[in-house]
Amino acid sequence: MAVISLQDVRKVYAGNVEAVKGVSLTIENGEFIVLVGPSGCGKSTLLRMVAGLEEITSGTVQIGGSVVNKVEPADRDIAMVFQNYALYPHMSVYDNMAYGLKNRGMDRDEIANRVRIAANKLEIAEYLDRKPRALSGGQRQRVAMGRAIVREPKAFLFDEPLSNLDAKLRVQMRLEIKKLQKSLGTTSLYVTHDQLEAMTLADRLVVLNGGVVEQIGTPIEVYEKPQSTFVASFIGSPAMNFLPVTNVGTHWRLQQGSGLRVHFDTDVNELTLGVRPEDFTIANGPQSDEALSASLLVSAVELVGAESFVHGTLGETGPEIIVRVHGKAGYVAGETLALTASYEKLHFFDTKTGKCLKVSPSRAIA
Amino acid sequence: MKRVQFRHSLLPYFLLIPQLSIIGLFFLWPAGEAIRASFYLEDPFGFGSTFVGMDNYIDTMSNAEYLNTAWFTLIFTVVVAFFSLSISLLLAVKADAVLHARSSYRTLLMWVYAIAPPVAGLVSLMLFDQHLGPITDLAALFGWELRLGVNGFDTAFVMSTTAIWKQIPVNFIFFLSGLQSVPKSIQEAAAIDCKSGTRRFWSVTFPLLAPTGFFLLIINITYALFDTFGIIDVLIKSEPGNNPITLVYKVYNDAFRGNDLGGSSAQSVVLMILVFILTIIQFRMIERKVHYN
Repeated sequence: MAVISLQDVRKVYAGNVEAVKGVSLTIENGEFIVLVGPSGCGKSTLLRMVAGLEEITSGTVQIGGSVVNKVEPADRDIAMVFQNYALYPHMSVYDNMAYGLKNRGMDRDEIANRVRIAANKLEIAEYLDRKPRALSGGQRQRVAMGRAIVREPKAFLFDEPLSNLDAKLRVQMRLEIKKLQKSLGTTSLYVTHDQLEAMTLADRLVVLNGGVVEQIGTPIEVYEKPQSTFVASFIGSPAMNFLPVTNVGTHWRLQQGSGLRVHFDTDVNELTLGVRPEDFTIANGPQSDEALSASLLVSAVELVGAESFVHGTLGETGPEIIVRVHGKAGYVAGETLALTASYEKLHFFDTKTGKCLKVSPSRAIA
Repeated sequence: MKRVQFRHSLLPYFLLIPQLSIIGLFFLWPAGEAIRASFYLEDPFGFGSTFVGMDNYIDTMSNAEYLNTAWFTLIFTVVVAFFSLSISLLLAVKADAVLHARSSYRTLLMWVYAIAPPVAGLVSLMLFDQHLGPITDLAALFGWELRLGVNGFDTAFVMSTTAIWKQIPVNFIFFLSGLQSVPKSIQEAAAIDCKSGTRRFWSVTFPLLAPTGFFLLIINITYALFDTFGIIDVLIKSEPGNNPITLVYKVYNDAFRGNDLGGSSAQSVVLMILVFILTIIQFRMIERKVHYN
């Protein structure tokens, strides 16, 4: 167990390609941090710099209070779980798990003991003599986890460990990883591009985009108070609806025929209004006192079982939006619905910078 | 099940004719001739032959000179295979770690591959020449009077050195591609599990190279046994005398210098059986040894 802290960590590849542009982050003792972002956002590079597999261009990485920038991966006392498991194909499951311990000169009995405990915990005790090729994807995943936990390291590093599993197994392993990490209390850094994995596993999420941290926070914070349009669109499925808002001198207007009863002072000229699909209410009548009222021209309805996604345009020609409705929605294409959204469900972003704008609640006007 | 059908059933055979005729003309027919001739005592001038049964085999096997040649061939093969494999593995590991200008570095290492064995022999003949050879001069500095073609050990040394040098590029290419097919993540997992690079190489990388290594071992044995003919012929200037030669060279020498077609045929049948066994071992082992998923 250890605190991992990164100060202004940068990675510049040959040819001046900047993959990580100054990331600072502190992972508390026993905390589960998930790095999430689209491919190429630098999340894996960051993880590999913590592991020591990638050189750090500038900044410092500390594990357990000491700077490890120049320390060999084997001396950092971390364990890593790779996307393709990276098991040693010529070694049995037992040897795969014992290899790191043997190289550290651990006593034979102690190794056997640790491997046995880990194997029981992961339910792979009966496969200890098998070679990795004789195991299924899920079992290999468990061996990779086992190889990490027998080491009892200061930190676990996970590099998209579930991407190679099928959907059902992924959900199951996701839960197991979470449980395991909580029971061991080992500081963990987990990289994924899957926002669902990120939301369910993380104590805190780090949303990365283009080598820059967009937001750090608990999953709920990130979901409910996204700090930028990037975070808002990346976290949540279907993604948040974005609607352009124009300044018409005295007030802000969403579009002809729709009402936006929010008034605030800002020197920003162009705003983007963000509303999550589930935050719209389909009103019974056209009149509403809510902060946002608009009409939706339905173009398609997707039934996905427990809920439905109503696709359409705002007014006749406005931007496309998606509304999430519980149960089976009986709407048909061509129908016009009245939408409302309450004030606290609205997110405002500066269109130019994409940053979230603070709107004081008292400024909502009737 | 859908069957692939040709309108004329002769077509597939027709397409195979070039390959089959080459195999027939250059392998099956001569091999058959050799097996037949090994049971006959041929008149040196081709006027007739007498069936002698196993006599040629018995004569060959009990001949001290043959046994000496076989012994030398064994040592030569082991030395050539061992050194050409280990040196090329070392070079491949080092070349794999090169980051800058790696392709030109590799090209340089593969260059020797383009040299034909007799040419390699000629190059060595000059480098190791008793009077003019620069390497002979170098050896003299260390007090070693290198006498190519005169001293049996010296000749064997030059033969082996040339054969090893000539074979390194082939092994190098295979080892390098073998190294590159070891998944990067496995190397990285090993880097986290084991601090010592040497230990990592022997416990992880080397076992993963085993299929390549085994394949190359067979290739190298075959090379040392058969393909070194050109090098040997040039180095001993077609005059074996008391110089060491390999079994294949002896087959040639006995047949075309000694005019003993029957005995030489018996020797080549023995070599054929040897190759046959090597091939079986290779197929058996390679299937079992491959680790990759």
